[in-house]
Amino acid sequence: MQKPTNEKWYNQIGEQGDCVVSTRVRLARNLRGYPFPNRMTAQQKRELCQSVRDALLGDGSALRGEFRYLCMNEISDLQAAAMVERHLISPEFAKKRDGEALILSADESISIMLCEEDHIRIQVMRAGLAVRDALDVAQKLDYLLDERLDVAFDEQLGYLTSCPTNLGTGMRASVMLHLPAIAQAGAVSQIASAVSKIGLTMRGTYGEGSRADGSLYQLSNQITLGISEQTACDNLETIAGQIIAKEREARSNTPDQLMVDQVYRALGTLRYARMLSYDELLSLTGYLRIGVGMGLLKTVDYNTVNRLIIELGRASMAEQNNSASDPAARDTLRADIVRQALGEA
Amino acid sequence: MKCQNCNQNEATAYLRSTVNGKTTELHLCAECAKKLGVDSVDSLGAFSPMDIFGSLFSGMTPLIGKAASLKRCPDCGSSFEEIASIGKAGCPQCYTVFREEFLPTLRRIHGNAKHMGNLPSSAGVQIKTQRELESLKDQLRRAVDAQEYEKAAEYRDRIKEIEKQQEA
Ligand SMILES: [Zn+2]
Ligand SMILES: [Zn+2]
Repeated sequence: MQKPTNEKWYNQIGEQGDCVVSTRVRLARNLRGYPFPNRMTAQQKRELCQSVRDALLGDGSALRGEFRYLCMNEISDLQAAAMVERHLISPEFAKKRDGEALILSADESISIMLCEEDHIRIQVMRAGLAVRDALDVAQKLDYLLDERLDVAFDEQLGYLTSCPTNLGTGMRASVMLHLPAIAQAGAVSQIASAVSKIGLTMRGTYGEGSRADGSLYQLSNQITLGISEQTACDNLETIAGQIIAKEREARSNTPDQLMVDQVYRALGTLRYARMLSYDELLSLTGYLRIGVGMGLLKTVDYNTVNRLIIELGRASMAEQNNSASDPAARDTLRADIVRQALGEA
Repeated sequence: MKCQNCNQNEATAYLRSTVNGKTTELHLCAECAKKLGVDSVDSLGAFSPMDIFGSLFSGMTPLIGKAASLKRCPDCGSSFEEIASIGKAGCPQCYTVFREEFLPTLRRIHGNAKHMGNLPSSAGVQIKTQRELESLKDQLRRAVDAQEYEKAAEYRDRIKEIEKQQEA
């Protein structure tokens, strides 16, 4: 397990930060003797959550100091929405909260949803491209669960999951890519269709539906049965590497003058704007990321960019500041925070 | 024995159907048998263990379709129709009960239906040995390709040893 730290994971330095925001590995596990969550009573959910809590955070557990246990019915709608924005929980998990629970590491890099679609969903987040590292951490937690609980498994079908699309490894690994040059060249759908033929999917993220605000795309493995965790992760990393190479090539094909102009325009807006919507923030920080990659911006780094896009979501802001529940007040406060982060002007 | 359709009443009817060489057994209460239109056999004095679908109603596919939907997971009560309509199993046991029903879909989704990933500690010795054999054979192939014959001989010996133990 990593060193205990309270520093949020997105403030840590990530690999390939010019093109990769974050990596996420998720393992789905279920316990024998209970129906899947969509058929569980609230009482059964509470019972199951408690047994997982005892297994992971019981007396003498090394994890006790590092993790918090949260009953989801004690959490406000706003807090839940903020957790969705920071990718700690899924939107579905935020909606129905009666008996479900969440185990969360201090740095928020590890979250374990209890009684989401499956009984247990381990999720590990890392800054930058770090698929193997994230898998490693997730598997250590899985090992602890396996030691103490009766995990549902079938020799032919692997780990048994509520949805048949997760059978086998129960693993979904994904990397969030920043691909503004590929998007501008109109090549996203072409890449998406190419990766779909080799067991991966790529789709827009953050925005509604397929619209990718700030040119952020999520690349994940699709197949979980008939492939090992390691092979699936290796494939994902290899293909991510190829897409990154394409993105860098496309960036270098854009006339420098034009790109430099866009980077500084974005920086100018972010430094001087008095109101910033979240969509605008996403699109402008995209240019900052490119500027950092080009070595133009000495006072800004990838972590600052990542922190802004993760912490300045609507719900996250409202959760942190009472005054930010009204949209206009929130956009004003967001602009204030960005100005502070990028050097007051 | 409880009725496999409603999971409540005591089963008084026993039906067996053989479709494409696959045999499904069903225990039903009188009420469910009537509801599903299989009570007509009562008048034939056929409510006893017998191969109804296989012999008497072999041409009646709608009835056989209904019969397949009568099978329910003993742990959670799900029928395969319910599972298929929401795209989610009811409990881990559903995969054992409806294995054959699941397999075509799984092959379509994943391209195959054989787990290759990690094993929990509860997994049987047999599958662990099988995995070890596969890995040794793979290493043997690579050692031969790389012309590392000493290593290859070692792998070959271990493979033979395991295979001998399996036969015993
Ligand atoms: Zn019945
Ligand atoms: Zn079931």
